[in-house]
Amino acid sequence: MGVPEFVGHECDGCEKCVAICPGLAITLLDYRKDQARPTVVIPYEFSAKRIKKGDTVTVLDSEGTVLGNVEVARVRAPREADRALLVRVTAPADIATRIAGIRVQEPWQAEDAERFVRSIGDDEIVCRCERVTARELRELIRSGIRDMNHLKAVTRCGMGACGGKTCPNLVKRIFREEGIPPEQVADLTRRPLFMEVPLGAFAGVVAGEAPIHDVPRRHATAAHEGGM
Amino acid sequence: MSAQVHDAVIIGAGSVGLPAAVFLAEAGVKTLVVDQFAGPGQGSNKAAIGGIRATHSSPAKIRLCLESLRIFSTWKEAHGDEIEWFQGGYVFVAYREPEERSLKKLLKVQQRYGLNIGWLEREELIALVPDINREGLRGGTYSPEDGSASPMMSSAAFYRRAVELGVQFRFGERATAIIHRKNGVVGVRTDKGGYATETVINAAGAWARPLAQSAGLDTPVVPDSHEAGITEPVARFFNPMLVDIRPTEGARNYYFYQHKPGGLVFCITPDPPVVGTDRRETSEYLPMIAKRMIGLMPKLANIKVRRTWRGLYPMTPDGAPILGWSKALEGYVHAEGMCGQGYMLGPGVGALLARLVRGADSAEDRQILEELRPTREFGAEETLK
Repeated sequence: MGVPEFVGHECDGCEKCVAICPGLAITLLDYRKDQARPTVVIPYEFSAKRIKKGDTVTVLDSEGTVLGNVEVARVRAPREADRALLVRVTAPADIATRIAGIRVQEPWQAEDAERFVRSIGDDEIVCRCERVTARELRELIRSGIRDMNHLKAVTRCGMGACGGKTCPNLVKRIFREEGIPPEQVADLTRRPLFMEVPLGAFAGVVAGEAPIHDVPRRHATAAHEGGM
Repeated sequence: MSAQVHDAVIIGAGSVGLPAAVFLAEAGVKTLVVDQFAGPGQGSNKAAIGGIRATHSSPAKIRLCLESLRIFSTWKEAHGDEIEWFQGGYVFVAYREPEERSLKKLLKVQQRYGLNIGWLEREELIALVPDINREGLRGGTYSPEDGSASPMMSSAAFYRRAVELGVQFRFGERATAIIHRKNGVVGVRTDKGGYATETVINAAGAWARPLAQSAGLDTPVVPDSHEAGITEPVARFFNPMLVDIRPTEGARNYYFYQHKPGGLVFCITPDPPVVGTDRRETSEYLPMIAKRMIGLMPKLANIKVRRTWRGLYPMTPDGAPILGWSKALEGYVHAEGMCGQGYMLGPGVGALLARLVRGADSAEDRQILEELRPTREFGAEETLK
């Protein structure tokens, strides 16, 4: 089977396009039998044991928003689909065009993690490289600091050998625990290199070899640079 | 516009604005600071590498930085904040006759202003910095009273002190215009509102020029960018800032030092200058400076680079700041064009501005202001910055 081609009015609802799209991006709507309650064929990449004809499933739009509960009319595993199932549901016309998928996760699993996560203890180390504790950060946040770069300036949190790969999310969690809305918090600036690299690697010097000496180009006359 | 009238409004909570706010508040001036970024020192201050020296060639900069050195070196004792002040001195190295000649020529000027700076012969310099490349080394200047501190920690400290003194801050708010009538300032307009004041200090660094233009003033400040980096911290193995003024392809001088916690902080001056306000790091400068630093100190090949960044230098045509009351607009104070030296000039400039705004400027202040006056001819380049 080659690249599927959409042929407009010649479409006979064979469902091959739904089956072959690796991105699960295609759903097929069929209004031929019922204009008010069309059928929708949805690609589904989970075990056949989880879904069967007659089940009620929750359908979602492309953003994951719940559209409603609908009944499964048919489940089949065509040869063209790479282990995906094609699930046909019947849905009211007002939501049918927006259906993009079937919810597989139980609702509680998608709830706000805050309920299940304990708060960070004051003595716990948030930035392991620079050994910054939650207490230090909390005190600064309580003093009114909302810019993570400001926290970094005072504590070095995020400036260690790891390049700030761990602590920024923990710092954001402490802000949340302190009741600061995320829109009030300025994220810290991330700087390369992200991992430590020997200076010699940038100069073409291999360990153990003599360094390369640069040849100055011209005499320094009126240096006009500032800085230093 | 808020109903409260502020004695002074500072635009920019950076290298200049923060210490100015501290000294104004200490003198009882009710001050408001407005900054477009989310916190203190988030413009170019945090991009400074932290070098502080009084050994310039301009008398005004020498005097301002001598005051800065006093403030930085005594800050922890006076106010308790750690700012990582370290008095390691500065060394300008000479490997060739032309550099030796120009450095020695400048030395005479600097010594005339009473600066503690002298010439180190080759062996003396090797004794001071044992790991320096000895091949071709002739000597260098050494000014032991210069030093370094953490720009980030000192801006946090100045901010903390300013808040303690009652200075108000508006972060994440961009000043868009100076409001003025009949040749006098009446307030500042921002993207979120406005503030009434008869005194406005433009300390907006690389972003100062459009604001000056909104007041009908044009200050010749053009930002260009330099890139810097820092390594992992290691045990101390040398004290001074090392400056190498030999130009090479793509760059003029470069310099580096070991800061108080032990990391090497380094910076290079691109040639030609990279004009604009883009602050995104590039991948070009690190190979350039790595080669040169290892040339100057071969053992650096093994030290690990941790982070790089890029910062803006608000340049004036003659490389010197623009400072003082505007003659054209009453109530407007220029604190613009620090030319990449805002961090080391900041406390000295801030203290002077506090005296100026209160009408308490000294005879020495007036000499500084005469040299840095906004109405000067921007012709000659400085001998060596």
